[in-house]
Amino acid sequence: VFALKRRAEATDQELIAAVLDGSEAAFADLVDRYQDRVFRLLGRYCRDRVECEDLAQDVFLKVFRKLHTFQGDSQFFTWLYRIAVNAATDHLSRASSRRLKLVEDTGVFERADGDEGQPAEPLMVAELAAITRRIVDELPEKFRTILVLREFEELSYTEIAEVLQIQLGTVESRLFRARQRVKDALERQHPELVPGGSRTGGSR
Amino acid sequence: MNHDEQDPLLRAAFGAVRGGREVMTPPAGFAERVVAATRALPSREAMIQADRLAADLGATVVRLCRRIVLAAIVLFALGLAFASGLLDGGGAGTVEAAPDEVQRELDRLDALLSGQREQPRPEVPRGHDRR
Repeated sequence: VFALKRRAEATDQELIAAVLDGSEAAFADLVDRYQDRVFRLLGRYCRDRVECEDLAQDVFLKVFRKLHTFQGDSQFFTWLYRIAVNAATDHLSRASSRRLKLVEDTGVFERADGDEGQPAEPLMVAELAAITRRIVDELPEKFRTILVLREFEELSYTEIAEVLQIQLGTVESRLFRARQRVKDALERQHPELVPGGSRTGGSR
Repeated sequence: MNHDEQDPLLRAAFGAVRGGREVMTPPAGFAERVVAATRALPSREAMIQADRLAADLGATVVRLCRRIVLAAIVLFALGLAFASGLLDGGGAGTVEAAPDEVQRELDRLDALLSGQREQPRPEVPRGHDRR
């Protein structure tokens, strides 16, 4: 079926069946179809391009190795995302020094205490993004992952539940607590962002 | 899009991340590199067999663990029964006898009692003259 169809027309299931039959072209198409999304997701976890490429390759190799275990009772991309999220979190826990590196990378955006008293520049969008990223990076893994999937990857609650293999209610409550933590951190570390604070953000 | 996020601060913060950051993209030829890397992997049949072997091993371990737990529960229950005296045949003072033997003993005791009523005699130590 795969051989007769153009690659854009082939469904995920047809591509998977072709891969399981030994078609390299079908697997190349499957990688091609999802590589952008995988890179975007992994980019939320690793800032280094080489590291991200290695991780993405590991993810797709694992997909290839385990493809015969994919039951088809969920969407292929949620199965793929589950592998990618697990790979990313495993990678983060292995590289324990990485978090320090991230803080160093984004340290330029931190407010130095020595700047107090000087005229404050309005927060720019890039600065707000960096602050938010740093706060999200410092969250416990489960909160970080659910925020990445919802706020940045814009997955639906059902898709998140499939990726993380948790109940829908757990998605809602975990997301609520994760957002609350980000909000608390933003208000605590950057009171100028709060409406009515010492200065107003320029991000809107 | 996110419609469940109402807090303006969070909306601005997450919006800034979504829109303000360069997205990591795959390099040219990434898919071909991945496909080339798959050639170093074992065949599909070998991978399926390895998975099956691992699953069988896992099932065996689970079965073994379940049996060990079951045996531990049985041993614990037996220990508890012994400790509470339920299975202690000799030490709990329980007398076991055939029904006719019990009846004979009751008759003997009846006879003894009726004899005592008729002719009081000095007290005989308990258990004496039983057989």
